[in-house]
Amino acid sequence: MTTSVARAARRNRWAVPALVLALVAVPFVLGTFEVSLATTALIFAVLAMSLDLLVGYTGLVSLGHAAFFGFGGYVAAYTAIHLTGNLLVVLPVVAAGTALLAVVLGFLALRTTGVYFLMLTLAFGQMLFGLAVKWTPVTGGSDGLAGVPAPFVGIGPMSYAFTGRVRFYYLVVVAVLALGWFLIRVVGSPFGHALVGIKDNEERLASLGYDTWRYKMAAYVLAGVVAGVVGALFVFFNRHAAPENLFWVVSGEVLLMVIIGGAGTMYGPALGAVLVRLFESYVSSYTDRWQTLLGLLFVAFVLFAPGGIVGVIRRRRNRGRAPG
Amino acid sequence: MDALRVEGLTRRFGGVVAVHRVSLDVAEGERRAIIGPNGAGKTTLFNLVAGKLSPSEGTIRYRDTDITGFAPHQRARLGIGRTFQRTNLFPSLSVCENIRLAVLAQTDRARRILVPVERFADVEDRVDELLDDFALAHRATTEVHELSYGEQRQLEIALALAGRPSLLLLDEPTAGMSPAETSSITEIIAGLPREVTLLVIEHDMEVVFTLADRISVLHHGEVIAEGTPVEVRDDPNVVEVYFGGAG
Ligand SMILES: Nc1ncnc2c1ncn2[C@@H]1O[C@H](COP(=O)(O)OP(=O)(O)OP(=O)(O)O)[C@@H](O)[C@H]1O
Ligand SMILES: [Mg+2]
Repeated sequence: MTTSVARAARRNRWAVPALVLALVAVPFVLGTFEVSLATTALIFAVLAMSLDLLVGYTGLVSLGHAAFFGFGGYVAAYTAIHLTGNLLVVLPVVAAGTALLAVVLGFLALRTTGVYFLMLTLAFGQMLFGLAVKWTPVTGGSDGLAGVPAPFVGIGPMSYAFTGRVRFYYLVVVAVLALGWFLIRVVGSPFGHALVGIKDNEERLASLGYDTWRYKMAAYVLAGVVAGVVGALFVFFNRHAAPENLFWVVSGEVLLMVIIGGAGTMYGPALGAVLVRLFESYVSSYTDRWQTLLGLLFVAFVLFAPGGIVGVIRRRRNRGRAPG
Repeated sequence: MDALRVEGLTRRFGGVVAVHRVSLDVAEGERRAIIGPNGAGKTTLFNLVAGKLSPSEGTIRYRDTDITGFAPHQRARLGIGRTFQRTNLFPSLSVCENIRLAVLAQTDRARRILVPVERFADVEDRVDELLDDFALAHRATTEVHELSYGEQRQLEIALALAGRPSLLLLDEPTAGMSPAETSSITEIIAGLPREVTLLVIEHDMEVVFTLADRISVLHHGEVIAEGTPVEVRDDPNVVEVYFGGAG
């Protein structure tokens, strides 16, 4: 796996610089609508990558990833409204808060596997959604928390505010590159290989001396924290924390992005997220049946390309290389 | 000091008593073969010692520690390694990634999260050594599901040896192998350092006689005989139940 990553990295020496250049260029060549679209697409790209750490690497199919995404957003909104919008304060608070939530939920959910894990994570997400709607004094009820100030980075007297779409877009680009780099390092590390070992054969991994429960918990917390941080960015983007961000539909959509893109790779789910966001944005302006169409697209992938987009690309490349 | 001391070990599955009041003392560095007909309880005994199953009754001591309640990974960290009767690998990883995972298990590097997995020179040396020992070097980047059955069995044993266990449980290491593969595996096992305590379940009597210092015979979950290979071979009880009167 890493060897093939290293090989791919050598082959695609220009892939990362080209990606960075393209991301930097977006506000120069495209309009405000596209910049906003790119901002949310990038946020969902990292959200999908973080879910894939569980689904594609560890073999834990969660249908409750929105719990962390939405919770991180509420923590960010609450902190920004009542304390400060300084990201150097908000993001550590969000990370600590989602880590704590992940430990608590993981402690219960990680006792199960397979469809039970899926149902339990779904139930936790819906419980948080219910809580957000009901606990009006803190969460703003079904209106959510509005009036979130623009985030800024401040040290002492110096500060820089991310007002305006373009500045915020660049903030997201930096965050996405940093978190993407982080996740890619994680899956190529001994820890990442142990997660694949859990997916493949947890019993054997334990018999080699791995405390698999701890590894699963660590993966769950890591995935939760990354989801919480991009959830915070999403709330700053909208200047509003909405209960819908916790709703199971978001969890389902992210899972869809992972599977359409290709679970078990990091760039696949990112690609899947971007494509699904584009699809939603453009197709929904022509027809309000876009969710049905997205569902059909998903079914087509599961039936005809279970490895997702990445699987299709790989198969093509291998066929190209095969003799004759 | 005994490496392994099993006392009054019993394991029931519903009404079936798979292992019944088994007691075993295996000395440090001893090579013990466990033989017995199909369904005698040999694999169940291994699963109890390695912690995959917990006993209905009885205790297991490893060196001076009572490990009866220990989880499998804790026993592995103490130096108990095992192979499985049915090949039990990591199918989506390559051969060398399988071995690396096993080598890393016994180091504190297994938990590193930001360092590339192949970054540790001593780990890579050990991986290469195992690839060479098991004649798998030319298959290093092959995915496990593409290996032949014999190669998968070799890898199964390589994983168990990776962490240099001091007590090694081998469940039918040569089953299904060609004669050539059998003799090369037997040679590797025979060549292990003498400090390694070995428990091996084996049906091939030639392999048993090559490897074992002592033999325990299991029948219907009970130890019916124990002794040197010659003693056991000449025990009329054993001849009756195991060699089917053919010996
Ligand atoms: N998980 C289980 N659940 C129920 N019964 C079991 C289980 N494992 C083993 N048994 C039963 O316990 C008995 C002993 O099985 P075991 O696998 O230990 O035998 P064995 O000596 O390893 O046989 P073989 O030579 O065929 O591998 C058998 O009757 C078997 O059916
Ligand atoms: Mg058996």
